[in-house]
Amino acid sequence: MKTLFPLTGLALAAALPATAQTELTVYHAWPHHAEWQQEIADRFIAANPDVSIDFQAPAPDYDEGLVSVIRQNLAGDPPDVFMAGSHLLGDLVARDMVQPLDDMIGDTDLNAEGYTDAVLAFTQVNGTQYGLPWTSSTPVMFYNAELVEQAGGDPDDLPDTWEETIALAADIDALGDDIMGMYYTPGDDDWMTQNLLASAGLAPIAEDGTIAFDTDRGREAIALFERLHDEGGQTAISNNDARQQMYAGKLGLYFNSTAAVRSFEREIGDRFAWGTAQMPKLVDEGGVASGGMAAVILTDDPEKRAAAWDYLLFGTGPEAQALVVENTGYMPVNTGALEVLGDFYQDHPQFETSAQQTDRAYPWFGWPGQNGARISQIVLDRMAAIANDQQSAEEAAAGMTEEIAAQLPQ
Amino acid sequence: MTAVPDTAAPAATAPDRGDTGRAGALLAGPAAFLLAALLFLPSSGVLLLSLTDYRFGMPDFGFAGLANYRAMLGDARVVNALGNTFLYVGVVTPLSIVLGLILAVLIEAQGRLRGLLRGVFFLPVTATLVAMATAWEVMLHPSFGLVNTALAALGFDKQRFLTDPDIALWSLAAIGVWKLMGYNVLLFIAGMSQIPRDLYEAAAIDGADGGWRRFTLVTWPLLGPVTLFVTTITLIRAFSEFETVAVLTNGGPNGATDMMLFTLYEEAFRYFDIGLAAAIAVAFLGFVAALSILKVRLFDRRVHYV
Repeated sequence: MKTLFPLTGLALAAALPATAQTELTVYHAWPHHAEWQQEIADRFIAANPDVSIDFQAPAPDYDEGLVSVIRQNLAGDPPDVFMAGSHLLGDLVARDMVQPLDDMIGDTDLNAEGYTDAVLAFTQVNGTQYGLPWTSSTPVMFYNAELVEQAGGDPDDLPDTWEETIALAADIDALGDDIMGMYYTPGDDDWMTQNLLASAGLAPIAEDGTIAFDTDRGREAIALFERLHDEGGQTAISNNDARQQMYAGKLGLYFNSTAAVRSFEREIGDRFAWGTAQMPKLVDEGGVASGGMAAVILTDDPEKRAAAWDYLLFGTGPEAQALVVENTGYMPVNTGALEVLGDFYQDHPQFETSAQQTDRAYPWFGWPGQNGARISQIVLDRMAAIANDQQSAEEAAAGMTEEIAAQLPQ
Repeated sequence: MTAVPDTAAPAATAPDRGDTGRAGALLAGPAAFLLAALLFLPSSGVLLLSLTDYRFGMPDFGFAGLANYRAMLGDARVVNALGNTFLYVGVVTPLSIVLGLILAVLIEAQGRLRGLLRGVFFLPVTATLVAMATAWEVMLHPSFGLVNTALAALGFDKQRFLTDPDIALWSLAAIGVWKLMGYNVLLFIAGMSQIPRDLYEAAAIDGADGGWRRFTLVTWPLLGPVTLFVTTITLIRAFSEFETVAVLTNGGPNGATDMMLFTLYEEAFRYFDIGLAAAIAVAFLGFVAALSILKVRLFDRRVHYV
């Protein structure tokens, strides 16, 4: 086509403003996010006609996204902007693929722009800001309101301690053979276990370097997972199976990231009443885990870097974040979005729970050193051993401590 | 993995001296070059990597000697994956061969339904396994999957097929048999169509006209070359099982379904430990090569080629 109409091309070029186009390549994980990612880009381009944005085909998940970006970096041509799982940021930093954002932030007061310190901490490594959080979530409790009522609970006033929650789950479980009381997903990594620790007021590694699983409270948090199975009626099925069970109306309480809210709305519809409630606590000061996507700039080109920074600010701004929330169930990273979302939250209270518990959120903990993914798997395996009665919580906690210590930098 | 069963081809006649030899070398040249460039070169690269402490994407790496091999043998997870792999291969290979053979004989004895049955059993081979694995996930759902519904209707307990550590590997093995059997059926049917009809007639004249005697006297011996090929290919395919693990269990629960190729993948692309992954790859290559050589040595002499 180009060779057929060279003059048309010239005429078009002449008609455009003289400013050079800046082209940004953006890469993110999760194919089902492509639609709203594109929408943010479209709105950004509309406001910034001198920038164009190209998406690479999305990665299936955070891990594969990271692998692909490292590979592209080895080939010398990484994307300009990358949405990493925020716990994997350390891997990019260790490979020198991403530079601190200090030069971009300059004198900008990010707090005044709607980013709280807690939110900014999601995308810091050792206190240095390497990216901006693009999405953010905490795990919440999904409940089947009808089953809760049948078991004598009040869907509008669900328990906030694990003790009472387990009792409620046991009552739901007793409703019938085909009904499961609860399911707390172990997840694909150690995030949901971090959440159990958070509900006991602990980070995976304390300030003094103690591994949480080696403390009494940490052991209690792990023992909680055992109690969910022994007393709460949870069976060790897969997360996918539990989701189907929930959609079928045969599961009372389900614990997972708030990012699932949108799917719940779509799958359950009006078939039965359901909602979300805050994550129960093990101790009074108990928190929740949090996590999400870290948007980082990989390009070194100053012009692209500037355009990419604008894009990061735009995508994490109030309007774009409101769009993300409505499309996913994530919570906004920018406090400005809460005003935009007022009506939406009124109509969809299930979406707001996560935002209400951010004041007690712990950042997604990335294990120090090079073995973070391996440690995640160690934790996951030991939790599976507890769920399947292969090990007691005590044994698993001791085993985890030992195995993790061997993987941490000496 | 879809190599042509060249072992089944009649042995080539010895080449003449001179021109024919040179022409032969020339004709084999491109294939030999590609083999070297695509197989031997990368393999030696893997061998070299297994002697380093390279981590995926890191700027530099050092020589590690045999540390990765020591780590591999000392790593309980790798040893566990190896044990699972052997168990899986030990179950899946004989079952999928024997069942494949039985089905092939039965299908060939069928009249009108033959085409349909061939199609039905070959289906798993043509379908994308990832999609099929998802179908299995639905079938094996612990509460309302088809299999558990059937079990419950017959008065048995429901099972957590993919999440019970005592059962999960067996479930994957059953899926493996289902998957490999169809391919073997097709190969056996192809082999049976090569058997000359007059051998059956001759056997009938000698008094072997019953199904079983026809099978032991004619069919089975003449299927020798095909069986040899089927055994090799099934062993190698069972050894390299990856998709069902990756899609259905992720090696869990607690490593119950970890297998060699999946461990290799995790070490390389999740833990970024390329050195260790390369060591596993070398061990894997060694296994497959040793297996093929051993089997050819053991059985090749006893096989009757038509």
